[in-house]
Amino acid sequence: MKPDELVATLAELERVRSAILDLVERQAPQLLPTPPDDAGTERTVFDLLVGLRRAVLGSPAAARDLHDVLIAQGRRFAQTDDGARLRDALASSAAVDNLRVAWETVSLNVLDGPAAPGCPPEAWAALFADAVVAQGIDDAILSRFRPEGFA
Amino acid sequence: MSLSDPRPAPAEHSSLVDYLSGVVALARIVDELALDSSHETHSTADDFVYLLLGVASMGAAIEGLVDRPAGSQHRPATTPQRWLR
Repeated sequence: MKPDELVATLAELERVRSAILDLVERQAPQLLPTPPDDAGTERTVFDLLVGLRRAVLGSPAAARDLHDVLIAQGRRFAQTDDGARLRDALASSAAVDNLRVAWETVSLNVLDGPAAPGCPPEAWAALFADAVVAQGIDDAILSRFRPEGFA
Repeated sequence: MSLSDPRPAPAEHSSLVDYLSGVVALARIVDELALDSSHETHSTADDFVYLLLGVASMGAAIEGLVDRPAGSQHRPATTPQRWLR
């Protein structure tokens, strides 16, 4: 395959990935909340947070890699005097507590927990299983497919 | 344009400096977060705190690039063209 064709294939895969993410968001509307009516600061913050959630949910392996790189860099920085001082100040900051709540709400904690190298975290798959697969499916129907004794 | 036919024109539109400036801005926000000492309890640092520390560290490293005196800038022994030939 020529380099041009490889790049075209990658671009096409990216379009497919984006289209599937659109579909997932339509099937699980709770992942894409209704935007505020006004076009002021609130709308700007909303768009930023939606973009962040879409980046995390749409590219979980890349987001997890970046997440891990930043944490590893943070741990290295904390071994210096300046880093240790900043770590202690951040750990006791109420503003960081508020930001943590915002981050967990936006990311739905899908970047935490176990993940094979280069693969999406297991929490990401579990979220979509809950939000998409089970959405609109009556458990009475699913139970017919479940072998006896299978939870 | 293709991978085998690079052109210099897109480099003029590179946003690298904007990316670096964005990281520095985020790092400064982290520094400001650390100033909020209204929290009385002293909790243990978790992954989220280390993630913020990572951003702060990268911002400091980027600011270090521009704080370096002009006369002391390290120049590579070989020109990039030699490796890009």
